[in-house]
Amino acid sequence: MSHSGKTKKQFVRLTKSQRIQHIILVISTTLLIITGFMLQADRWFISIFGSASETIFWLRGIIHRIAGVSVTIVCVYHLIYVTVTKDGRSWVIDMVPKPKDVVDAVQNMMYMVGFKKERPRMDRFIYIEKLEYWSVYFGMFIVIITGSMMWSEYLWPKFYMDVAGAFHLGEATLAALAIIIGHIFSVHYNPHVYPMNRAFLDGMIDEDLMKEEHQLWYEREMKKIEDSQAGVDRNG
Amino acid sequence: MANGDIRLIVKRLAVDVLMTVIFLALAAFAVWLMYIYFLRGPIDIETRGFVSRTVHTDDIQSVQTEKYKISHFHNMDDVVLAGIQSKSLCVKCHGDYPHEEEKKTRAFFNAHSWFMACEVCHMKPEKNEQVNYRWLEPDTGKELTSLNGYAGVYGGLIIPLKVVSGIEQRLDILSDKDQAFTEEFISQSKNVKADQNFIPVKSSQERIHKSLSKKAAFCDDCHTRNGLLNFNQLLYLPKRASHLESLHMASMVTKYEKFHMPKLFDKKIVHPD
Repeated sequence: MSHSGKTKKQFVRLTKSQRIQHIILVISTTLLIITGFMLQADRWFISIFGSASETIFWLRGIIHRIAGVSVTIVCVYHLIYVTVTKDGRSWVIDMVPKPKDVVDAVQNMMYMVGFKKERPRMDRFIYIEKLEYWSVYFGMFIVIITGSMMWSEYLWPKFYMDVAGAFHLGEATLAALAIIIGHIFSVHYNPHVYPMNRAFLDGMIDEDLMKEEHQLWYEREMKKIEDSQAGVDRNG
Repeated sequence: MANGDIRLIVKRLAVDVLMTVIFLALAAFAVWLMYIYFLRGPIDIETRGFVSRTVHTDDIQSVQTEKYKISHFHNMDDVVLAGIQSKSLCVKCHGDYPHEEEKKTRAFFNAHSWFMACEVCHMKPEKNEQVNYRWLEPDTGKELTSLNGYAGVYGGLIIPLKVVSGIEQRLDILSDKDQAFTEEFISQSKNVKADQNFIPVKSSQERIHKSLSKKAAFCDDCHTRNGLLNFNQLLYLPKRASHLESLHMASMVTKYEKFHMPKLFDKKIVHPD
């Protein structure tokens, strides 16, 4: 219910399949970040675990590999999903970057700093979401290849291992910072959704947020509703 | 103020506190990530915490070695990291991993150099010479009385001893004269660009290696019944000794491209109790 007592319209933002893919990605990535960066911890941190440190670090390796396999499976599944299913194809088509995204980015930043009175009218996926989405493809490609190489270290010459290690650590650092600074802000600390955007749980987005952040998409969806209602009226 | 309003305020406050705590934790983590990547110093590009090639101080080395040992998936190279072979003069020139030419067998040979003196395989055999093999602490020469610990890491090395007039002489130790000559050669060769064809270098190397054979003992010289080593006398338990005699390593190496030995470090055989 809105403050006026009028029920807000709800729209589907994420389907059940997309939510399951997302939650597996969230859990796996969190585990990968924790167990991966444990290797960079200082001595005092390791000493906290005392005699259990050897077991904990042994488990660390196992968990990191299990999470790595999970994330790989989700990525492969997602590729199939966006190719084979109708929802998936619609998702990836709407994610394709367009010249308007550049204009939106500039205008949105001007709006943020107060040089424009209104936010640009953006579509189903805004430029930040597109950037995040395609960055995951790039990042996953790097970490899956280099992670597999490091898992099968006995197959590779030392130089290849050094390069793989450098790329794996570099991409992991970039991804972790992007998630913390970019994604966590936009889905948790952004004033429009604080304390959380519930779309990852129930898949829905309300019309207020649609109007604020996805005006073009909102107008298109409303037109569809109006057209279908007009069709019902004509036929009925 | 109505109860409902108070409850709402408390609920919002709790959410704000929780979100603030999470925010601070994430911000601290992000700052730490940037610190380790951009500010901490040489990045360990192997991501295993082992940076001995870029950082050389003893203190950091020991810290990194400890981290390496607990972080590596296989937790390997204990003997080399512990420095058991480091007293050997051979290691000073040839390194901890001296076998590098033959890709298929080098790992096996390098693994043996952790717990055997180089002379066991590389000694020049002489006719009618009696040689005994014992587990000795390399520094003190004290003989081990039992094999305790992880396979191969028993605190000693298998060392060949030549029997001369009923007295055993260690073959991994040079005479004082040869020792001094070898150490002098090693220290000099650090200062000059060693040219293998330059006569003094070549003749010095020949002198240093005079008691060693270019053709080393191969797998089946030991891993066979009545081979070079008597595994029972070398303190192995009977079942383990019998297993070591029947490995047929040479035929494995020559016959197959890929092979594995699932029972090699089977705990039931290595330490049945």
